[in-house]
Amino acid sequence: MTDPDLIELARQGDDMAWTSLVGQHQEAIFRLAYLLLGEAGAAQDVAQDTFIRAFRALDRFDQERALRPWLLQIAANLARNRRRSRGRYWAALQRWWRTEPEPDPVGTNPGDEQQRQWEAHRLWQAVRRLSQTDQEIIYLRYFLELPVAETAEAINVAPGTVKSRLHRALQRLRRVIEQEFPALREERLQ
Amino acid sequence: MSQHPIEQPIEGLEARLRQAGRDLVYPPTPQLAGAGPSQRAARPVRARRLAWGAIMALLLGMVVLLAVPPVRAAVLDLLRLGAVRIFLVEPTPSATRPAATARPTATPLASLLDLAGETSLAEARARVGFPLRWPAKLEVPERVFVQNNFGGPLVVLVWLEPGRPEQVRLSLHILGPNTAAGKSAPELVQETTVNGQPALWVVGAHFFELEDGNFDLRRLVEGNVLIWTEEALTYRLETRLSLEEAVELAESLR
Repeated sequence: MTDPDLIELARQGDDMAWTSLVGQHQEAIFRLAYLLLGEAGAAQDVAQDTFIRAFRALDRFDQERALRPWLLQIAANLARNRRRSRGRYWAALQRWWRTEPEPDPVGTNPGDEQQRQWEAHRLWQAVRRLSQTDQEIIYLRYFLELPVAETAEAINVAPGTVKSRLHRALQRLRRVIEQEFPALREERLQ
Repeated sequence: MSQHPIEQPIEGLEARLRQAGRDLVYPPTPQLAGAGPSQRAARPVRARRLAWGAIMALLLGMVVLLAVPPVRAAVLDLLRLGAVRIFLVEPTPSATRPAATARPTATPLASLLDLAGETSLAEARARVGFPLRWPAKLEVPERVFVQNNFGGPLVVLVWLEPGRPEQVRLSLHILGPNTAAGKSAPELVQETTVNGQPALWVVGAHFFELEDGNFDLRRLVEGNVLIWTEEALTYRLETRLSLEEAVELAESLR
């Protein structure tokens, strides 16, 4: 059954249809929230709230749109609000945490699973130094591997804008890596 | 000559990010199937607990700080944003503090009419030397007021409750350069951001005062207020919306 069919049934109060939609999309929603917030408990709250809000707004949802980008958009907004409400001192604490001395890679073989996980984690930490706007587009397009069209829908811009924003975000990320994550420089990983 | 890494093409970085998305160790995805019809009225318990914890911590911190006179002055300085100063001290004897309400109600339009100076949007634009912008989601404001008695221009844009022309749905106050305003004894002041810049969220009934050397005008505000600045202007959004919704509106000015 397709998303539009399930949405129609859910609108009529079919619990199973909604459960099915949640099951299909919960991983992407939870992962985006986790990437943005960096904490599993907070990500679970945001993911749960995303589906509650989506269900409440289901009658107004335009079925011509894809469901996943819409859910991701709600999740990103909720995560954004949650980050704001954590306040300045918590943010300062996070900044301190993020700028702790960078450890050396744990493995020596770049193909090693532990090494790849280390690089993934450090790259994520580097992305987290960017603005939330930059983070969102990078997570959607690369970490969650959404097509450009869905990324555009999720952040409510034209597909062409996605490409230009990504380009600028990656340039900024490269500067962050250069300045703060020297172990991630490409020449050290090759 | 080799390119500086910053100037290198970004394709390699794109591939590394895709791979990072696959290699990153995510926590297990929780089962969220309950977040549907049968639980649509629910709020996450954890979020609620954290929110209350944050509010209580903020209140406790403010009480402790304000109990120490030298620190009190510092706090007063801290809560100054643009043209608005927020006084976290006891109101004057004549200013009876309004009772706290569980949920703020709309500001009666009559209190905004106290400002006088009602005009049209076109006239307001002609009279003030700055652009008049409002949230993109909102239609053209239904009532417009301009005041010039408080050190600089003040524009108030008002949207009414549908079908209830006596009730204000929300209002946006734009304080020009040199305008001076104050708030006394709000229930709670929370720091937040609008477009990444510091902003304040004032919760609960309080007095809003416009100043021209003395406090000339005092008005009871019963809703929540978001205060932020952009360039030389200070914005106040009076609303019944939540902080998140208010910030969303504030960030959509056009």
